[in-house]
Amino acid sequence: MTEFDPAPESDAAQRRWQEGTDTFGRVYDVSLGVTSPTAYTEIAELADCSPNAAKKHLERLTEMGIVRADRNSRPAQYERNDGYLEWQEASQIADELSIDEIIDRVAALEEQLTEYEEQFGTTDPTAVSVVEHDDHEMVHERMTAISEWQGIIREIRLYELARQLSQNDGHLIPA
Amino acid sequence: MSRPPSDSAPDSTGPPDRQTLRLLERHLTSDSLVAETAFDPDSYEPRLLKAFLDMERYPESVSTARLDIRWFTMGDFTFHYVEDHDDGSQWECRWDRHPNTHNARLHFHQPPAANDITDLELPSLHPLEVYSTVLTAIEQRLEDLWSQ
Repeated sequence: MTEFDPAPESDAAQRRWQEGTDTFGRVYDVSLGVTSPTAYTEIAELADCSPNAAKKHLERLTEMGIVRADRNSRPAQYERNDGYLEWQEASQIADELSIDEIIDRVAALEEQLTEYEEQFGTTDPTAVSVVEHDDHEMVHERMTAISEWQGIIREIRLYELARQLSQNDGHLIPA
Repeated sequence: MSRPPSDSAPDSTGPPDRQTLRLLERHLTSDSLVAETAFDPDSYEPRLLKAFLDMERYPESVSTARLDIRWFTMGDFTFHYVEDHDDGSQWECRWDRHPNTHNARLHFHQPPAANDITDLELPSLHPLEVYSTVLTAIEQRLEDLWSQ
C-alpha cells in the first residue's frame, strides 16, 4: 500500500467542486467562502474564469446584496456580505419556526451559555486561551468548546432578529 | 458573522462559520462519494457538518466511513475522516488548521490513528479548494483499499 497523501496534486482535486456549474455559479460559490476583501482577479482564478467575467458577476452579486464591493481599491476587492446573509437566515427562521419554538430554542441556548460561563469562569469567550495546553487533543477540545460558546451567543442574537421579523410580519421595522 | 476585529487574539478561531458550512453541505450532497449529510445539532444551529460516505463504493471489510467538518469564522477548520472496519478497528486522519504550540497552524494528523502530526501545505485555503483536496485524497484512499 502506498503512503497516504493528504494533498494529492491533480486536476481533479483542483476542479472537483466545479462540476456541473456555470461561470456565475462558480463566482457565487467562491464569493460565499470569501470573508475578507479579495481582489476580483484572485476570485477569477479560484472560479476558473476570466477576470472580466468574474468582475461582471461580482457586480451583479453586489447589486443582489450577497457581496460587498470596495471599488476604490486597485484592483477592486470583493467579499461576501455577512449582514445580508444573516438577515436571510433570520428571515428563513421566522418563516419556518413559530414564535414559541424560537423562545424555546433561546431558553435552551441560554442554559448552554450558563454552563460554558461556569466551566470557564467568565462571560467572555474571547478572554479564554485555546492554546493554554500543550496536549493537542486538549487544544481540539477547548477550541471546539470555545467556538460553540461563541456560536451560541450568535445564535441567540439571530433568533432575536427572527422573532422581530416574525412580529413585524417579515419586516425589520414595524409597518 | 461580521469580520473579527484586526486586534483579536491570534489564537482565536471564532464561532462556527454558518455560511461556509452551508456552502460545503451543498457541495457534499452532490459529490459522488457522499451518501448523506447532516448538521449537528441541526440546520438552525449548524456547528458540525457530517458527511456519511457511500458504502457501495467501499470494500465489504469497511462498515462505515464518515467525514466530520468544522469551519470557523477566522478561517480555521477541521476535516476528520473515520473508517470503521469489520474487525473492530478504525482508520482515521484529519486535516486541521488551528492555533497550537507545537505544529504549523495548518497540519495533518496521519492515519491510521491520527496521533502523528505533520505540517501540511495546501494550494489554497478557500473552503471549496480545501474540500476538493480532502475529497480527492479520500478517493485515493478508496483506491488503496481496493488494491489491498
